[in-house]
Amino acid sequence: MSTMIGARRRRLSGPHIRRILVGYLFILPSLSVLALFVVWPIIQTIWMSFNNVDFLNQSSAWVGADNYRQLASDSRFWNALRNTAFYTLGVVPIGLALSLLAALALAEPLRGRSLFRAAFFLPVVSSFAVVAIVWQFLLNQDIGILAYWSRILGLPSAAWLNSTVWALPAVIIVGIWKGLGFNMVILLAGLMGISDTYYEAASIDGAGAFTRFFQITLPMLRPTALFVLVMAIIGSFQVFDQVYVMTRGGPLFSTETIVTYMYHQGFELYQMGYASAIAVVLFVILLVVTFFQLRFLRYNDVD
Amino acid sequence: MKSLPGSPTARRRLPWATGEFVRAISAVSLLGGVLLGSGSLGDTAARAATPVTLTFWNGFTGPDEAAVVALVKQFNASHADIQISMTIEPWDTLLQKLPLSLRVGKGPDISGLSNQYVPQYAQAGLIQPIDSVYGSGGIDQNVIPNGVRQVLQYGGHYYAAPMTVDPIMMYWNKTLFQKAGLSHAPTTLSEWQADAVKLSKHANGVDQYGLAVADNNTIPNWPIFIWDNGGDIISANGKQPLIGRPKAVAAVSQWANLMIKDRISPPALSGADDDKLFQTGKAAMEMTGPWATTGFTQAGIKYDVAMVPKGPGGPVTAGNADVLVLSKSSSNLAQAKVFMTWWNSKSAEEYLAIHSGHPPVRTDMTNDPKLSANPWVHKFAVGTPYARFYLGNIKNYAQIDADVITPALQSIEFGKQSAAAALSAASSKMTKLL
Repeated sequence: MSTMIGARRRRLSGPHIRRILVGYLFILPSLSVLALFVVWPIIQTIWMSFNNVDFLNQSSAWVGADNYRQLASDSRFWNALRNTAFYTLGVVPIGLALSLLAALALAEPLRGRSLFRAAFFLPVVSSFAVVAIVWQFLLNQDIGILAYWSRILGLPSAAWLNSTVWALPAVIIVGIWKGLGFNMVILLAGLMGISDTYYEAASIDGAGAFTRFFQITLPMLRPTALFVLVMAIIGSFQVFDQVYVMTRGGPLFSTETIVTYMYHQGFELYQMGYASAIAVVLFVILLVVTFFQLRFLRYNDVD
Repeated sequence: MKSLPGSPTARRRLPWATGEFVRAISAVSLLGGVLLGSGSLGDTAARAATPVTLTFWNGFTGPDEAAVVALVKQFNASHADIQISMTIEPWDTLLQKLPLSLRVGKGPDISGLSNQYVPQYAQAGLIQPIDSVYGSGGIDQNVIPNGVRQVLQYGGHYYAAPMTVDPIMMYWNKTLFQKAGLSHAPTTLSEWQADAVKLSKHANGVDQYGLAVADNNTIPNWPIFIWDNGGDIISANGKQPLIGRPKAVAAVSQWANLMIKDRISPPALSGADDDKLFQTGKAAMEMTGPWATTGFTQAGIKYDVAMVPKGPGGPVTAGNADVLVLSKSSSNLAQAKVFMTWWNSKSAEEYLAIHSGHPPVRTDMTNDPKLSANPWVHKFAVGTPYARFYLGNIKNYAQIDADVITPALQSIEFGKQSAAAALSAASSKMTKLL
């Protein structure tokens, strides 16, 4: 105990303090940018959510938890939450499974591997708005190429973006397609990090491909997979771009998500207070979801 | 040279310090001063004529952009004292930054935007009343159609001047009509509905729609159906919703049935989708404004336009107006008056009509022979006197249209609710927002 106190006293000596100060000075620029553009807006948003802020008239009045009370009984908000949950349940499992398959395939020394990797990654670097417009044309039930091919092949074709049933699946497909490359690249990096010696030892012991995959690959991929999972869930909860361009939340609110509803309230109806309340609720939801993910999937546990 | 006391060397170096020289210089200076003085009188005049520059933002990025740009150039060339500096951006971006920039005084002097924003902006104090523009030497109110005049005002004052006013007309595909054995466009409501059914074919992988109807992000389609049947969406004083009344419900119900049973149109079309269907020859009829002519012609469609077929409430159509407003913080009302009056002059409207297809707003130009230079102008001008403005003068236009009326219409189109139920619910929601 006395040695610990002694150690602490030694830690606060001159050169040590200076080193700490210099450290802080180095990160001061980034910290100030972070504080100004991330922390301050978050605090402002939380403050605005307790006010009735009209953006157009630049008026603001304290209303306490009224915005939250209104949210609780707003059926359109719950619909948006439901759609967002469906979207996440659609994009994340299917998207991650496909990304993993693509990563596994492209980890092998195939011919034209770089070409495939580039092809998968291209959607990621394309602008979401442009991608959404192109998909809008593709999915058009009357003049779209998908409808054309379905007709030729005798397959049933859905009304896609003009159907209350198929609009959300269409948006999900575009979401999976767009994010595949990004997740694939990260999983690929994780795969590359698994030492070959494990696989060699397993083959010598007579382990088949499936056993190797489930006993070596998956466990060693866990930290990477967890990272990709957390990012994918956060990202899909925040879906906005393709919905805004492809369907604007329609038809009949079947594709309206939390962020598109928030945009409508804040930037089309100018109710910034209400929109801020929605933002805060989204923040809390993601916080809780991420907490449980990290807890149950044991992020720090890498064996 | 007289030698002077002091430093003779220095003096010798400056021969022009002599008395004669000094007198000569003074004479020249005096003369110069007189000349410059009279020159400076001219300078004062020139200084007074330093042009006042007005900034002007609008969203005319379509095929009519060239005509708008040319007109502004004409104005600048003929007005040395007033210059317009125009910026054209897509409507989305423009309407996002306009309210905020007007609020902090960094916006343009003049904005060109859809008439639906006038009540909102006027009430929020972003634009100033321009009653003097309609005074002596300004725009003559009497040559502006009644319907248009109403949406230029708010709270008893003029806030806007017309920029372009288009009636919505019915485009019809001559080829598809011929194939169906129809020789001319429908002129009555019953003919219209019958033709729409006749022109809808869905078999053997062929999908053809009789009348493509848009309900979101579009110029008003359904309001035309309602008005044509003698119904209305809102009362004249803007306080009472009338969309739940029998004539409106009947109109919506009839057309929705045609959409569901006879598939005359896909449901939930946006304005852009609507145009695409007509442009690809998949729809036999469509309702839109004169701006679509270029695209349809380029796509090789054989088409013509006709007035909206007449029902019990007709002849009637919807109007689409873009107007000029003046920012509240602008001190250039006098100059804006000159520009707005010039824009609404016969010569300017003639140029705009011929080069962009927008029919003239003025009622005293309908028989102007020069307008025949653009064949579409007269065809569209027919509709202008009958043009009504959807939710004109309503402050909560955006919210009522996007959150109440469109969802109600879509729910009817998808067969989820009857017209009576959906419109009565919409009516109650509207009461809270009016």
